[in-house]
Amino acid sequence: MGTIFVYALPLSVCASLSMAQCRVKSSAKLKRERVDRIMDAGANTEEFRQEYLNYLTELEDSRFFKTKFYLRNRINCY
Amino acid sequence: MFKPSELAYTCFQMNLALTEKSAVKILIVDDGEHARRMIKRYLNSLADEFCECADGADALAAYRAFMPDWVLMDWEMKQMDGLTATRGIIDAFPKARVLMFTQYDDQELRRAANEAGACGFFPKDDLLDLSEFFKKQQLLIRR
Repeated sequence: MGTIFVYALPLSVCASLSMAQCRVKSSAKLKRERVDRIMDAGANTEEFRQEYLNYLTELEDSRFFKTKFYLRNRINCY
Repeated sequence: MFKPSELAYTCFQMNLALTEKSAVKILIVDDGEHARRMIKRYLNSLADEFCECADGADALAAYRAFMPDWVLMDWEMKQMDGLTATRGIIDAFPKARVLMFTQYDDQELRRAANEAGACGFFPKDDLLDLSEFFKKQQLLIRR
C-alpha cells in the first residue's frame, strides 16, 4: 500500500503540473487570438491604443455636440 | 449566407454579388479623421486599397474616380449626410455596395438606410463587427 502511494504521489504531481502548463498555454493562445482579431501582430500596441482612444474621444465629442444640437432645435421649437 | 439575427449589424441584401477578384477597394466617407484612420487600421489586412472622403458631397465624385468594391458611409456629416450621398451613389451606380456606418442605431435608421439603397448597417461602437464582416466576405470569395 505504502509503495503504491510513493509512486502515485509524484505521478499525480507531474500530471497536475503538466495540466497547469497546458492551461497557461491555451490561455496565452486565446489571448493572442483575441489580440489578433483586433490588430496586426506586427502593430505597435501603444500606438494602436492611442489611436483607439482618439477614435473613442471623437465619437464621444460628436455624440455630445449632436445631442446639444438636437436639444437646441427642440428648445427653438417652443 | 449571413443571418442578421445572429449579428450586431444588419445585412439587408443576402445575395450580395461578390467580386471574384482578390483585390478589394474600399471608399471611406466619414468626417472624423480618427474614425477613418481606425477603419483603415482594422481593415488593413482585408483590403488592398482605400480612398477617403470627409464629406458626403465628395462621395459620388470619389466613387466615380475610385470605383470601390465597398463604401463605408457615415450618417451625419457637415455638408451632405450619408443617406443623401448613398442615394446619389446608388442612383448613378445601382450595383454599388454601400454600408452605413453610424453611431446611432435604431429600426427607423436601419429602414431609412435600406430604402436609400445601402446593403448593410454597422454601429460605430464595435469595429470588430466590421472586420468580421469583411473576413467572411474574403472567405466567400476564396470558395
